Order: sequence, then structure tokens, then C-alpha cells
Amino acid sequence: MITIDDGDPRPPFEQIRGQLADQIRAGTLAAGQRLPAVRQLAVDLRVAAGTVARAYAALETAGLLTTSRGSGTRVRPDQELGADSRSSARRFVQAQRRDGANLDEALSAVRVEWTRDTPA
Amino acid sequence: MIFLAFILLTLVIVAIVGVTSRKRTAALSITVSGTGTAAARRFARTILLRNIGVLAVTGVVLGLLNLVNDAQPGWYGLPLMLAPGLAAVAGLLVFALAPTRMVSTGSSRRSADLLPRRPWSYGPAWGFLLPLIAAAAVIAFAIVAGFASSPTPDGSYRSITVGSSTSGPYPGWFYGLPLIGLTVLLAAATLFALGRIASSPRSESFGELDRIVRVLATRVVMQLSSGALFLYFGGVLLFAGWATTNAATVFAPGDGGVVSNVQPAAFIGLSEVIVGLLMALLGGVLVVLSLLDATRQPLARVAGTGNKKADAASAHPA
Repeated sequence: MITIDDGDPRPPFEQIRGQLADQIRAGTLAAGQRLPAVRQLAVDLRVAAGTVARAYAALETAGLLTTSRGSGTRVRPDQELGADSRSSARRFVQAQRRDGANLDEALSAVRVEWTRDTPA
Repeated sequence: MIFLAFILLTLVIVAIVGVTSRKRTAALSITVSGTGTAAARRFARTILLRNIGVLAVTGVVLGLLNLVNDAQPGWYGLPLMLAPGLAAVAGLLVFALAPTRMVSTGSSRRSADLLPRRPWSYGPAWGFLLPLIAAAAVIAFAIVAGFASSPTPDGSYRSITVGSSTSGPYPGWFYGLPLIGLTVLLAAATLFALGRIASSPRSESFGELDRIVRVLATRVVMQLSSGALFLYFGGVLLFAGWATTNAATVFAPGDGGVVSNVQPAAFIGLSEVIVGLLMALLGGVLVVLSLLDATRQPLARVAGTGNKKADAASAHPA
């Protein structure tokens, strides 16, 4: 399930791309799973077909999806995050919630750590 | 008399099917509660209106083709033979093109599930395979009958000759070529209607109602198209069998009694008559079932009777 929110400052294309990427990396969308046709997703979300097509194309470029004429758009294998990473993320989120942080603050903490640990 | 017996037998079979599938059809009805009731009722009404429109158009086309058949005796019953199929095609086109958009709640949040909807997603595999095989059988039969047919004095292939005896009307090329065209047209119209059912926008507020409406719509489309196919195929087989049996029977010159039968043509003719009757019966049953499903309300009238509840509230995240 993905959701488009008009109140979200991100454009619909980015909302679709982000949610699909998250679900692929979390393993919610399994490797090889077929995604709906561009038109189906567009009519359900009430966005232009081009918006969904752009999100699919971006995910294909990122190596998360593969598209072929015969079998449609599918999740590429081996895109799921490892079990350790997901379990660490879960623990981190639980800690942030205990501290009363919101998503933006939690992501800030990740960004800071990400930058600190990036090899020069 | 035979026609009355046919109608009676059809209704008896429909009643038996209705009783044996009571549990399954009860699952195709839900109760909507809370704020979504009015919107769901509006939606159910548009579906019912569309289905009644389909039935009306099908009936009108049947009637018109019957008139054309009466007005054109030189077409040798061709409009009547094509009538069930053409009426079904017209009904399926109305079905596919009538707008039935789910009443929107106008929320700023829209959700979509990530399961692809395909034309065959809302029915059992045999429900699609059986008519497909039957359609292939119609085309194969039309070709075989075309080669087995012989020309009448006006040059059209609509009779059959066994030995020195000729009989008709027989579904030779005169009837066979339009029959092949009609079968292809019916298959295309069915696929188009199924594609429209699958591709119409999903209701985010009434997920279960949306699924039930699609299942019912798929049943109506498949029963109508298969029913029409079996009806005209049954009719064609009956005429083929009747003509073949007549041509294969040697009558006495005086009182007209049967002297002998030419085999295997007489056996083939009799088989065609029996299979044709069964096909026509199956077609009649499917058409009546499609009428029943087309007028079936997906919303239960009384709340709290143990039926499933539409997920009007759960689909709206806070």
C-alpha cells in the first residue's frame, strides 16, 4: 500500500518513489514481485500516468526495479537491507520514540552519523 | 412445446445452481456502516443502473435482429443465428464504456495497493478457460462444417450432401464465416469489458465493496458472453445435426418412412443434435444467471446480520 498526501511538501513523484524504495529495502515488496501497471497506480492515486512512470523510471535507474515488455515491472532481487541493518534501525527508532523525537529529528541524527562515518 | 420444456428445464437448473451456491453468493454482499453508507449506496445504485442498461441494450439488439430476420428472408436466418452473440457484444460494450467511478470522499490522502489487477483477477481460472476452449471449438467446427458443406443452387454454401441426398440449412461457409467473425468479436468485447473492470479506479474507502463489485461484474461479463456463445453454438449444432441426419436418412418413396441410415453421417448428425441441445441449455442457464447477478445488490439491506462490513473507516489513516 502506498499513500499520496496533498499536504506533504514533497511532490507526488517523490512520495511514490520514496515509499516504493522504502518497501523494497525493508523487504515488504519481495524480490521478483510484480508491481501494478503505471495506469492502474495512476488512476488509484489520482495522479498523472507520467508521475508514476517517472517514479518507476527513477527506481529502475537506482537498480531497485526492472522492467521488461513481457513481465512488466518487478522488484529486482537482492535489494533488501540485511537483517542486522533492519534490526538496528528498529532499535534506533524505538529509542528515538522513547526520547520523544519525531521522524525529522530522527533522520537528522542519522544524517549526522552518516556524515561523521563517511570515509574521506 | 419443446421451447417451453427448454425454458422450464433452464429455470430448474438455475434454481438448483442458486440453492447449491447460496453460501458463495451470500459472500458477495456486505453491510456498510457509519458515514460511508450514503456514498456506498450511491455507488451501488450506479452499478445497478449500468447493469440494467446492459440488459436493456442486449434486449433491444435481440429484438432488432429478430425484426431484421423477419424483414430479410433472403438472408436465410443469418441475423437470427448471430442475434445472441451480437446482442451480447452490444451489452458488453455498454458494460465496458458506462462510467461507474466510485464516489470519492474528496480526501487529501489517496492510497493504492501494490497488487496488479488483471482482467482475470476476479474469477476462477476455469471460468475464463472454458469459454476460451468453447470459442476455439466454435471456430474449429465452423471450418470443418464449411469444408463438409455443399453449395445450394444459388451458389451459397449452406447445405450438406450425403451420398445423393442434400439437406439444409447447414452451417457451411455461408453461416460459418460470419460465425467465426462473431466469435472473434465476442472474445474481443469480453476481454475489453474485463480489462475495464480491472483498470477502473480502486475505492480507497470501500476496499471490500470494491472487490465484491469487481467479482460480480466479472461474473456478469463471463456469464453473458459464455451464455451467448453456447446459445448460438448450440443452435448451430442443432441445425447442423438436423440437416446431417436428414441427408443421411434414406426415406421410402411412398409413405416417407425411414428405409436406412448412411453411417457414420447419421451418427454424427444425432450427436450434433444432442450436444447442440446441451450447449443451448447451458447457454440459457448462463444467460439467466447473468441476469440474476446483474440485478444482485452488493450491499445488504439490513445492517448487523452477520455479513461482512465494508472497511469505510479503516481505510482512512488518521
